[in-house]
Formats: sequence, structure tokens, C-alpha cells
Amino acid sequence: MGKFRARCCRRGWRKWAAGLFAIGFCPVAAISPAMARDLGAEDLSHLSLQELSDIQITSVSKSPEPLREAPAAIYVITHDEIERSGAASLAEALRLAPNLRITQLGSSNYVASVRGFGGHPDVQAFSNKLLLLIDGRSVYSPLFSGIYLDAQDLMLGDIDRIEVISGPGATLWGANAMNGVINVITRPAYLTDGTLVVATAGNRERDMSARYGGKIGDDLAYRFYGKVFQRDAMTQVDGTSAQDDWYKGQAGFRIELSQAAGTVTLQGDVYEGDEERVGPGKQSLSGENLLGRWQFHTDRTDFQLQGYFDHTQRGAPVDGVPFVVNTFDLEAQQSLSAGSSQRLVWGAGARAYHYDVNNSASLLFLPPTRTLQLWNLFVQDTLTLSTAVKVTLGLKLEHHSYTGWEPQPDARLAWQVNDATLLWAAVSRAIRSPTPLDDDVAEKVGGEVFLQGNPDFQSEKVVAYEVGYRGNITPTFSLSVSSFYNVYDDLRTVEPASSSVFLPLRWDNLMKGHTYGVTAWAKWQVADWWRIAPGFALLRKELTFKPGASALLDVGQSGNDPRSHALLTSSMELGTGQTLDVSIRHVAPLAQPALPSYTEMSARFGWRLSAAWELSLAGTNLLHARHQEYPSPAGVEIGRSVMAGVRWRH
Amino acid sequence: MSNPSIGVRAQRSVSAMAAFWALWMSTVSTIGHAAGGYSEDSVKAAFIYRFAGYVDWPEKFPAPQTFTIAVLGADEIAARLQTLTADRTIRNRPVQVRRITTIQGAADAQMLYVHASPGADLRNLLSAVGGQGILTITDEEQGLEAGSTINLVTVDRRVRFEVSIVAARRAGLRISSELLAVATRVQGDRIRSSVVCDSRHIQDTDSSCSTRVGGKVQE
Repeated sequence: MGKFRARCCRRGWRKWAAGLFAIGFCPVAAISPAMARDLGAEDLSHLSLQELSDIQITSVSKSPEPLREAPAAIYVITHDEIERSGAASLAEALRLAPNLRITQLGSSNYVASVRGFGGHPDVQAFSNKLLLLIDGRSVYSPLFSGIYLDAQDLMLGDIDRIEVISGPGATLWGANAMNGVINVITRPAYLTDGTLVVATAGNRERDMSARYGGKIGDDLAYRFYGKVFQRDAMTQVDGTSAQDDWYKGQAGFRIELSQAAGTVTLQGDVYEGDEERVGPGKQSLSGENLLGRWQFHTDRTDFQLQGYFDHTQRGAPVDGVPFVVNTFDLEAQQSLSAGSSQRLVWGAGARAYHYDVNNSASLLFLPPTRTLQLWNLFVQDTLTLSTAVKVTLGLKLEHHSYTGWEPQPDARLAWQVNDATLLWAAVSRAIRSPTPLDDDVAEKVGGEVFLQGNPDFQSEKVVAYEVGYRGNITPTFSLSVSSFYNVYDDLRTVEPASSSVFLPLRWDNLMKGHTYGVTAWAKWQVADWWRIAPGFALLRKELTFKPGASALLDVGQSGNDPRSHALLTSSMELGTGQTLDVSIRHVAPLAQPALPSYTEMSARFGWRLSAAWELSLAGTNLLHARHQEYPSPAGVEIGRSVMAGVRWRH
Repeated sequence: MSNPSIGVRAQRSVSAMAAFWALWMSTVSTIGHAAGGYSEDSVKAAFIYRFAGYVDWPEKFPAPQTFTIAVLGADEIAARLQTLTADRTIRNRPVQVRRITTIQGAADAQMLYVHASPGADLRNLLSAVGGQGILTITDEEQGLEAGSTINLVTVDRRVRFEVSIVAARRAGLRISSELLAVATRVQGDRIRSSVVCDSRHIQDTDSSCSTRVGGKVQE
């Protein structure tokens, strides 16, 4: 049998596509007979409730989900997908969303972007138009406008799901959710009882994490976790080490008091890590956060009161500045049904950011310490026009320290054509609010100011028009397609500060234009034990300078984005507690600076020996010894990573 | 020697993967059924069927000739329930599994299983059948919060369930302590609850039950 399979698979090697075919289809011939268990005949009704609770279910096979009603391009990365992907960090887990582009710049450095604007090496190697929330806590940097993904991680086994929303989410989530929002949602503590220990080790990384959860009485549940890892340095194009190895330790907890009247949650994390850098000095990162949430409900209304404190600290090597940001946030939200045809959500929030920058000779924030305030008020009403048609109207008013009041309205229409088809359309306005980096910065070269902030810098703005389709075409095949046309204004540019001399340069808002594109993904349950999920995103950008712009850097400064990226995942349940997951991603070439397209593959083989033990063998970036995802000056290449792991739960 | 082309490198990598994979595949057949799995829908259907045995519908909800389980938004589960209950009775009555498309179809049912679209207004849906002696079972995050009596949760490849005593009381149902003992979460005060009784001796008065339960079932 083994020989037959090897030969069958070897035949297709000539071409990459054929290889794909082989990975995908040889097993059908090889395993189908063994898997031919008539699921319809599976009668478990003789089992007791306790026995039913103990039964292990297959994770691939699942009847098609009812359509999500949300009129937005939302992709949900499930708990199982994360566990089975072999991802060791939150950043790697985010690669599972086809509407998200994840770029790895180095051992610790990842950039996430949606619908373009993924950063540019000459301006800012960040996407500043995407928001990341972890259990309702924003981790978007109010100082640098972007997400430090190296500082954001979790016990992956405790994540319930990650919702990746393409398109503005400003009405509900606020500013900077301009092109999208990532919502990481962890499980409630009462669902994570028991001990879970995960350890993996490989040629590039060593990870160890553990969680313990339990209950006190009926109402109180808790969990604690700890996680440590060490990752080796990547390699530069010239073959030398990028010297960017790093390690991080993290611990956290979640406690929940859950009663019929409501739930009180308290959760927090602490982390600390060190990243090596070329030259003297390390980049250190550390932080703590504490979040409290009180949810309660009456017959027709839900209330939520949430507050958090977040402390983020980064020490910096020669090319950056050390800083501390303390965030205090308080928000209240109520949702109520007004009759059967209306659901109203409204809320208010206040946030204060206090930052303290330890200015260096070459990078200064003036003033170096300051408190920024953010106030918001929002209301959203969902009107049921008929059983099939719903309209959602929303408005968020935000008050920013730099720009004052910013309205961010949103209108969405959902038409449930039938049980299997949803059509939706949306128009929304969103902004990327200025940060101290835009307003107050001074970058010096040789004692002379090279780039300075602009106190008159305006918010970057977008009006997004979206339409989408979501449907279960057959019971085993679901498809989601969405298309967008985004009109941008006041995009950030680099301009000479005065018309007479070249230096200093400063930020300005002299670019506008539009982008459009299509994002689609499908899930195909080929058999009870096998699912295939392809997805892709296409993007076109047509940006121009506004009158008065110097065009010092061309429009590429808005972001060095590929015109497309695609993802194909295959999940197999091999029937004896063994799972095989393969994911292949392709990113089209980058234009300025140029970088060729690349294709990479991750895979994981998991083997459940018993209810408690699981062994795994996983790899990421398997196709090349090294490949480059981002055209940085040093040309850091990402290396192949292979690791073996063990997971124990009790 | 110069670096091999991307294509060649890709082929080599894929070959290595394939060899690895083929190796595993050949071991698959030699290893027993160490940790297989049942389909999620089978387990859920079995749960739904079994729940009926741990709930008491009081006299004021006279049961019709058949015991009706209404299923909204889950045809696959309805089909399995149908197979499961074909030759069986619940509370000495033949079982009818009814697929419904609107909540009104559940009006005279004894049990209702809802697998609504995420984002649907579950609370509105469930409030339409509250107080009518219908055991509501959902399969949603925050299902209990939306008003259902039993909510299924899938965690770490196991189907578990949580129970709201408050919702049961509102529906006019009594739930056995055995069911509560297995539940992963029980919402409402278990000790002072009027609905907690041993299923085999369901009591009519509230006080006589409460002495029996102090967190665990006392036989």
C-alpha cells in the first residue's frame, strides 16, 4: 500500500500545481475505503449524558454553518483552525485569514494589513489603518499609529476565535479601523478548566506554554497561563545573520463570576522580552494590562461596562526611542430591542493615553510627554424592514486631541434572499487619526532636522462602498465574495516644510485617490474527513497627489502592496486521531521597492494518542530554505522552520 | 554550484514532504483506533434526545398525542434526530421531529432546538416561545444569556452543555439534578432553586427538593 501511494504521488512532481494535486488527491484514493463509515448510522442515544460529554468529535466534519447575518466581509479563524495550523504565535495564526495580509520582516517583526496600505520602508513599515483588539482591548499604538505584533501574543489554546473584518469598522470599534479590524476573542474561563501543556521545539524556535483552569463553586471560574519562547535569528540576503533572535515570557489570568443576572470578568497579562539587533543595544519590550468587564441583562436589554489599563514599554537600540504608553479606557454600551423590528445599540467611551518618550539625539517627540484624550459616543440601529431585509444605520462621534470631533457614519443593508443566500451592501466613512508621530516628531540626521511633524496634520479619510455575497451553494460548499471601492482623501505624504529649502521635510495630507478590489473565500467539505478552503484578495490602487504636493516620494509611499494574495488550506481527519493540515499561500510581487512574488507552505501532522496526549510535527515556510517577504534595506530572509511538539491536557 | 532554481527547490521540498507523508500514511493503517471521533451532529442529536429524560413538563402543559421536537436551522441534526427517534417514544409518546423555518412553528412543541445564524436576534426568537412549556436548546455563544434553557458548547472536540435554571423556571419546566451535575455551567442558584429535583422522584413542592442538593446530587 505504502509503495503504491508513493508512486502515485511521485508522478505529479513535475509541476508545482501537480504537486498540489498529489498532496490533495492521492489520499482520496488511498484512504476513502477505510474512512467509509456511514455517519448516518451513528446512533449514540444509548450513551449517558456523561459519556456523551466525554466523546471526542471529529473536527473537520461539520454541517454547514448557518449564514452569518453580519453585512460585512468577515472571516472567522476558529479555535480548531488555530490548533491544527501549527501556528506558535498570534502573528502566525493570523496567516489563516485569506482577507488579511501578513508580512514577516524579521524574526520578531510582522506587519498585518487589509486592503492595502501595508507600510513602506521609506516612510513607516507599518499598516496604520488596521485595528487589533484583544478581548475588547485596543492594542493599536497611539504613539506610532500601528500594531506591534511582537508584543501581542496569547495562550493560543485559549483563543475561541479571531474575527477578521475587512472594511471600515469605525462605527463600532472607532478610529483607525479604517481598512479593517481584527478581533481576538478568548474563551470564557469556565470553558478552559483543567491543565493544558504545550511544548514545541525545532530548528528555529522553542516554545512552552501551560494553562491551568478551575472552578470555585458553581459561579466562579478562573484560569492562569504562562508562555515562554525563544526564536533564532533570520539571515540577510548576503548570508550573514540578521542578529534578530529574541525571546519573550508572558503570563496572564482570567476570572469570571457568572450568574443568571450577569457576568463579571477580570483578566490581565504581563509580558517581557528582548530582541537582539544589529549593532549595540537590544530592543526590550514589556507590558501589563488589566481589564474588567461587567455584562448584565434584563429581558430586553443588554448592558456592558468595561474598563482597562494597559502599560506598554519599549526600550530601543540606536535607531529608535524608548517609550512608555499608559492607556486608561472606560466604555459603556447598551443594546435594546424596541419592538420586534428594531435593535438599538448605543454607547459612550473615554480613553486617556499618557506617553513618555525618552528622546534620543536623532529621534525626538516634542513634547516628549503628554496625555491624549479620546471621547466617543455611538449609536447603531438595526431595522428589520421585512423578514428578509435589514438595514443598519450607525454613527460614531469621536473627539481627538489633535483634530476635534470626527463623525464616522455607516449604513448597511442585508438581504437574506433565502436560507442559503445573503446579499449585503454598505457605505461608511472612517478615519485614521493623527498621532504624535504625525504631529510632534522631529527626526535629525547629523544634528540637522530631517523630518518634522506637522501640527496641522489632518486625519486620513476614507469613504468605503462595499457589496458582498455569502452563500451555501451546496450543503458542503460555502462561498463568500465581497468587493469594495474606497475613496481616500488627505492621505499622508512627505513634503518639504518650506518652498525655499529642501530640508527639513514634514508630513502633510497631499494624496488622494481610490482603491478597489475583490476578496473571496470558500469552504468545501470534500468528504466527512476532508475540507479545502481557498481564498484570495485582489487590490488595485489609483492614488494621485493633490495640488501643491512635491511628489518627493511617489504615490508608492502609501504602502508597498501586492496586487493579490491567495491562500489554500486543506484539513484532513485521517480517522485514527491523526490530522493533516496543509496551507499554501501566494503573494504577488511588490513594486516599489521591488520584490518577486513568493509561494510558501505550512503543514502540520497531529496525532492524538489518547484524550490527554497529542504529538505533532509541523513546519512553516517549507518550500524554501529562505525567502524574503519584505524589501527592507538589509534584506532579511525568513527561514524554513520545522518543529516537533507535544500537547497534554488533563 | 549556484543555488538551485526556485522550482527545483520547491520540488525537492515537496518531495521531502511527500516522503514524510507517505511514511505516516503507511503507519496509519497499522495503528488501531486510538483516538478517533464521532461526528459532531451525531453527538448533538443524541444529547437532544437524552435531555428529554431529565426534564419534567408539569401537568399544566398537557402533552398532545405526540412528543414534538421542533428544529430550526439545522436540517442535518433534524435528520439524525428523526433516525434516532424513529422507533422510540419519549414520555410514552411517539416522537415527531419537525423542521421549522419560523419560530411560530414551535408553538405546540415540547422541545425546540435552534441553530440560528450568528448575529441573529436570538433573544427575540426565544422570547416568542417563553413561558409555554417548551424546552429551548441552543447552540450559540451566549445562548443562555439570550434566554435558552440548555446551550450546547463545543470545547476541545467535546460537546458539552450549560443550563439556565432561571430560563427553565420561566418556561415552567423542572430539570433534574442529574442533568445539572453533568452540565459544564449552571446559571441560577442551584441550591435555592425550585426546579432541582432528582429526576426519578420529581417533587411538586419546591422545599422538599432543596435539601437534596448541595452542589452534588445526593442519592
